[in-house]
Amino acid sequence: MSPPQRILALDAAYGPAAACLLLPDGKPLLAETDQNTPHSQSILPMLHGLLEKAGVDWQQLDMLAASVGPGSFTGLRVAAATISGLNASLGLPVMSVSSLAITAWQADTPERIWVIEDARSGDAYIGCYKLGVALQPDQCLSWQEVAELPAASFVSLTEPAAELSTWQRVAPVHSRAEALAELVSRQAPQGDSASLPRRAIPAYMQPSQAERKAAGG
Amino acid sequence: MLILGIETSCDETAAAILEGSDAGEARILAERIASQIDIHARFGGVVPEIASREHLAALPPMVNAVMDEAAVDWEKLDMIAVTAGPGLMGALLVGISYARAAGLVNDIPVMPVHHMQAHLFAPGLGQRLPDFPFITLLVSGGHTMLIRVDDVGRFHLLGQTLDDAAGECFDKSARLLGLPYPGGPAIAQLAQGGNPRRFPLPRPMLNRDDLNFSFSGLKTAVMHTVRKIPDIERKPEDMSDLAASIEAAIADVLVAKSVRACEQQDVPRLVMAGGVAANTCLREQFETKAEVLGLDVFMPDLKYCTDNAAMIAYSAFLQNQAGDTIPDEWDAKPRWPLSK
Repeated sequence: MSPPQRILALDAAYGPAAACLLLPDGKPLLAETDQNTPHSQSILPMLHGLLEKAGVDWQQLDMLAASVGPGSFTGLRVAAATISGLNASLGLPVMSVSSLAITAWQADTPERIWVIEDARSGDAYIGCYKLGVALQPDQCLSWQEVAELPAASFVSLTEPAAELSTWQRVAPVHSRAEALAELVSRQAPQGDSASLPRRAIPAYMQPSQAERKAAGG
Repeated sequence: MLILGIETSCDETAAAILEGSDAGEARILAERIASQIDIHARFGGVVPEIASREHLAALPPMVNAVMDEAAVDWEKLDMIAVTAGPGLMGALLVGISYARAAGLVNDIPVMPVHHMQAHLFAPGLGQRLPDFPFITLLVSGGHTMLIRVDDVGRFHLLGQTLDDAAGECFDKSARLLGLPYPGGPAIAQLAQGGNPRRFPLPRPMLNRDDLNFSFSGLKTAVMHTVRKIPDIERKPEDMSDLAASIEAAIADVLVAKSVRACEQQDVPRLVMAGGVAANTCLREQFETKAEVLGLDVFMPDLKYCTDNAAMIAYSAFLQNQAGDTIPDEWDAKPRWPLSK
């Protein structure tokens, strides 16, 4: 089976949503929503616009990709529900991308980079990447645990809720859509993709507040 | 026409396929409901974040299942009907995002449906919808209201609860009795064989001519009654009698106000809908009272009293038949008043 050539990818983990359409000629089409329009209003017009611009029908897609988290619970769910709705009749393989890997790629560095995002409730999502490859699994730690890690370079789309003065903060260089396109392009299976799931499953990494409370947390 | 109905407004994930004829007849070809009641029970009520996660996990395979069972392809569907509100924001967004995306790919219009309007018309599923106008008592965990329905999309709110909904009163009373969530079925079960006249609980607002309700005082009366029976002396029959007394008090108020609404409006057709409409004691009281007063009473099948997708598809079918158009822009409406 030939590798997938037309891939539509979506991210809505942090703030505005981003999307890209990878095409056989190698140059991806990119799009991002604005800050003020809710995801429920903006994501589908954005995706539709990408396909229109490329002159591609939904049925010509080979694969879908979704940023599965960690990140905003609602953002992850809207993206995953959208991917499932698109795929209800298409039945395409769906590849998952870490939302933290996208942020790491936005930093555009050949060195090891940490991604640290505020997960609220006193926690942080953290990942450690080098050239798009995870050096350890993404995880959710308390801010106190994060502050105890050896200081290093980090990138973040949210404001840290702990003092990280000994850390070196790197600003994102690439747009979210650019980073998403690059990662999907690198991580897309080169051979048979039939074994991939047909839906996106969010990586919440945190239970709900009610579950934490019930567990005494 | 073929309509896929989707419901994710609270703690039931549901999908259904409806086939409707130009003559206005509708039948359900396939339907599924996944209840989350057991998942939320240990928290004593619905946890919105958990509900949303469960909807996302349950909905896509459920839609595939009803499509398969009804032997319907996406290209044959004429419409997708999805609950747009009122309900839990995160939960609504799952159904809406899925529905809109599926509609976009397959070029199928997506109709946003008012969840409570769908409950109003649920008695039309599998049986005849009463002639307009009719009076509906809409009674659930979140709502207790009396509505005059003049046509599809033409309603007049006659009265509603000023504090707790009847279902909420069942839930809170159940908690006082040490019973699990949801309270309605738990109290109904405990009330079997109990003496409904043993504990003199109030029938709030019955002495007023208006059609509003209030159940918070009844809940307080239950609390005081429970406290008068110390744990150590509490016998099973005490609890059974108290459950029966609570059920009777709630039912008395709901039935009396509903009948009053019919009389005041001079409309002899009464519909009871919503989750609490599944309560057997209440159904029996409605039927008895209606027979005495010569009212026609319409109640949905038990499975269409609680949240379901068949009623969402049916509401869209009625709206389409009535010439309703889909607005150019719409979104989830967690608060969406039922009034036209």
